Amino acid sequence: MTPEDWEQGIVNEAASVEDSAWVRETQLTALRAGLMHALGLAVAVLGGIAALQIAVLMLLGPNKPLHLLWIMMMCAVASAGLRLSRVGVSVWHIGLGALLYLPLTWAFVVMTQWLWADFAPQTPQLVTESCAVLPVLAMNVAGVLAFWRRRKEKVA
Amino acid sequence: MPRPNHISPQTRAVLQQLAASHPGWAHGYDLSKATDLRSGTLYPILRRLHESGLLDAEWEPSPHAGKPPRHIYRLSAAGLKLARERREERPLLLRGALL
Repeated sequence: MTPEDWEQGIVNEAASVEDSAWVRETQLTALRAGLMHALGLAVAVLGGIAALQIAVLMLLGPNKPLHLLWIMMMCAVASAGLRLSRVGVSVWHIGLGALLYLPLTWAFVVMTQWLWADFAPQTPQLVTESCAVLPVLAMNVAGVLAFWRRRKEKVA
Repeated sequence: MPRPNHISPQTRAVLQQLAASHPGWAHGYDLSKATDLRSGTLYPILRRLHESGLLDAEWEPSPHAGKPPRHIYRLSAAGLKLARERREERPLLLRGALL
């Protein structure tokens, strides 16, 4: 059973009994489980991406433009999303991780410039003209939308 | 999957309850009431048992119209063996050990 099956099982159990106190408590349990699951996976995805980014930065050397890096990161996110969705992990989690990655990358660059000025990249930028980046970002957004649609269908 | 070395009193209570109802299936609500465990404690235990191969979990269609399918649980052969082994063990007396 996937984590989503477990969460759905808890929700359905709460919907099947008449004990109102137990139902309230169980709905909170399901909500907490869902949030922890989403947060845990998003953090794992972010951690993986950050580790990969550091490795690529070290390979490329200091002060290199990040054009190639962005494309590689987005392709990595897309590949991870496809792979994990095949083993039962929602694309939502990958999308959330990737969306959080965008602002946090800037924070990462600023931090490395502050800590290690000679090594840190100087030109963090999202290459919007790249044909690889936009489809991947679109896939992430589609994953988030698909997640909300599924949740709404389950609630209905 | 490796068998757990340490089993908490709560997990032991779930194992014993499931062993008592074996080979029948049990719902989460019934297990919660029988073991006096809150759902926030019960469901993580059920999930860990399932991931360890000690518990079978399935969906059961509801006989009532408009109600969603429910999860039902039953010990696997390995889970039943573990429950019987652990039933023989004496419970840990923390009060006597600490005070």
